Amino acid sequence: MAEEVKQEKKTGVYLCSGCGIGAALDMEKLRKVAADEMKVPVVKVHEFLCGPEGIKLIKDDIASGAVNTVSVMACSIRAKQEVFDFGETTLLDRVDLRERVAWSHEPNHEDTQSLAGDYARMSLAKLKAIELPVPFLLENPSKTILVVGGGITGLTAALNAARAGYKVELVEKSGQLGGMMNGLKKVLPQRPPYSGLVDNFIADRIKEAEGEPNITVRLNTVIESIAGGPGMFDVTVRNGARSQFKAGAIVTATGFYPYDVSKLTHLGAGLPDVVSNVEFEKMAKENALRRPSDGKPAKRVVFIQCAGSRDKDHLPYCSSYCCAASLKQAWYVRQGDPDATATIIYRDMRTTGTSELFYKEMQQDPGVFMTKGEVESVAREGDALTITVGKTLLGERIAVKADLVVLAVGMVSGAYDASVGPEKKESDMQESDWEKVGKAPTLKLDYRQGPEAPALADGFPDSHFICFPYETRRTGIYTAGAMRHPQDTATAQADAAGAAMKAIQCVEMTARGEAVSPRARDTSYPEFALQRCTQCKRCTVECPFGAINEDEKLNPIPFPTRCRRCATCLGACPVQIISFRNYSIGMVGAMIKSIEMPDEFSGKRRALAFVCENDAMPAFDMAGINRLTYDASLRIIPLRCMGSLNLQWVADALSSGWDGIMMIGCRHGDDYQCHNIKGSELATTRASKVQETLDRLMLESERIQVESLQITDYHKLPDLVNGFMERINKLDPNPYKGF
Amino acid sequence: MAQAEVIEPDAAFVRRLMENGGDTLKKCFQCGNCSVVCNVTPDGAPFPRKEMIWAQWGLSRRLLADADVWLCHQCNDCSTHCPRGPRTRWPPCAT
Repeated sequence: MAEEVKQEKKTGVYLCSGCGIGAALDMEKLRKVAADEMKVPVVKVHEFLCGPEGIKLIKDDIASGAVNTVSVMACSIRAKQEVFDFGETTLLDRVDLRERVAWSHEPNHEDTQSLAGDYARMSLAKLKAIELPVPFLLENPSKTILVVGGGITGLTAALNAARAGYKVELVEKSGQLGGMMNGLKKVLPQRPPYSGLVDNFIADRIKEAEGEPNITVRLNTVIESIAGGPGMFDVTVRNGARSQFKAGAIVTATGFYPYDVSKLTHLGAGLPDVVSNVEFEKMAKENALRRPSDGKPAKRVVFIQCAGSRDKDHLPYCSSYCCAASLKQAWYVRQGDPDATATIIYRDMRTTGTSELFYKEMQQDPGVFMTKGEVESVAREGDALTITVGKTLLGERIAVKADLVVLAVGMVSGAYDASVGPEKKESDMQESDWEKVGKAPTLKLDYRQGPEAPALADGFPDSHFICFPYETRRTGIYTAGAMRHPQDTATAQADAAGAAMKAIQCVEMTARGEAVSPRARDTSYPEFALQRCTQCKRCTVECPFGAINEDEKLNPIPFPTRCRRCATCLGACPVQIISFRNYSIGMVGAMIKSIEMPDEFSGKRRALAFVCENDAMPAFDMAGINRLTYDASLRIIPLRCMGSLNLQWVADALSSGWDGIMMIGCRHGDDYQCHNIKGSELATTRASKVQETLDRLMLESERIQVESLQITDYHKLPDLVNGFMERINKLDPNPYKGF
Repeated sequence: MAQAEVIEPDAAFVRRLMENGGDTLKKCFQCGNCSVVCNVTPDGAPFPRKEMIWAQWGLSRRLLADADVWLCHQCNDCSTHCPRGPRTRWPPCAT
């Protein structure tokens, strides 16, 4: 732990009148709010605060020791972050007078002025309630990277990390490196012009890894358990004997299982001479393109694409590699025998990325025939197979004869036991399913929320596919390759490099006591006043990242290096014992109580909006940038995540006279937008329980409204806010004003 | 349902077409632009799209029995609008 230096707060307020703020607001009145009403010793107004002169004003005050706590009242916190950066020893808050006041409300109106004044009061109340964060530092953080799986992805990740100077422990359960690539005869094109197949290069990659001094290869090894967290993983492995080592981050690269071809009886699986693409690859590698039934050469080979893929009864998704793989295998057919033909029946030819160029190349071959179509049946008649296909490009149902049929099956993530993974979403899993998964997890995490990084869809472990690739819902555990999403060898290598970079970022930032992502560089972390804990388990259950374990008495055991600082635990805790130095129940409570609340006879109402700082808050900025105006009775408090919304704040607001409360978070559901997975969903659930508070205070339920909003929805804000205020104005004023 | 016709792709015939001026015929990916821009194509069985796939599969019997080819007045609209390159020509073996 870094030594903590408590020093007296010396607050300075710096008001900017540039960018139209001074034209819309009476700066002198605003100055007086800070200087006279709030008794702030240093209050300065500048017309161009982010310019060199304005910044010097602030920096000089900091350098002279006159100020160590700064409220910059200018533009949105999302603007000019590098300019208004006064180092780690200065407590800073930003007040958005530009986008959220001057640009979005009537200039020189008393309500606009009052809005600005309230934001100044809220900022000063916030600065009074918070402290500078002190980073959580591990005593001896490990920077070793554990790579699980020795296929092309694992090897590439290990080599990338090792060459960047990190020790790597490469764990492979089988007796040899190389994984699925060991079974490939040729590999799809890897570099321009992407038109020709290349020789299998896995042996070279294995040699490189074996010769790399930073890599320790552990064959025939399985993981027995992983405890701890980033920077301090305690890894126990077994290879005959048990051994232990420390790791700082983990790259999981356990590859894929081919989909079980025996389930595809509707496509002829089980008939002689009907094989999967994996079996066919093996035949090609052994130079034996012969019918398994009678050993005769396979002259007419028919490939059936999407075999058990994009099919609600099998794999619902596209595995993206099978089309290119079948084209590759068509090349084997044609190379082996110039009279042989390859026929490909597809639903859509999905040759992703550069493999489109290989498709164009193969299309030119006179012996390769392709048609879109729906396979109706595969039957064996005599010693040949007949495939009946409907909806073909020939405009009719056709039948084609084949010596051999290849079913191009897709990929099942190697993250789980193949029998459980893809069939159930994590949200649908019961305790017994977890146990079932628990029978064959790879990582065997000693985490309260289960032994494996959870999957979001179709058994692929994920945190937020678009925004945070390679991340799982377990900090410091990154996924790469086909276990992350279906992909070919070229993509797997790019994935491996990406995941290795994430792992390096994780070990470095963890060693500095910083959050990795999405609140990168945040040094705050939750602290628990455990003597008041009631062992209700809500924090350990609701943490989206499994950062909190439980002891045998159900007390939470926080692991700060696993934490992403979303503060969902803070929102969950019914006895309010969880807080961050710079984000707490007390801080938001103080902000709520700080405003100048008009009395019930003034005719003025006040509503509060808790907004997600990742999406809804930027939407308010966008509304301002586009000069959209909305009711000035609304005050915004940005939250780290809607998941951090504690019902105490709702009670605080209602009992201090606020007339209405909006909660604006991200979209939830299957295609959720929440950075922290369940934050906005949890907030919605909690809001549904607010009724109790409303009933106790005898207030109407319309006073609370929950909304979801994306940044691009900013144009909806005026209607949203004005509509809400219209409803609030119809109600009586909150009777608790002035109490 | 009625028995589907058994189609036997003929690589040798495709090769002959390709060697005799139809060298780009395999480039067709059946988008249908050619039939859309053609002024004389019949509504019920539009060409030259269907002839292209017959040629690609080497279905010589169908091509030889095809009367539609004689409707073509060589305006070249189909080739102009073909997205797979200006060298693609209809009829595939007539250039």
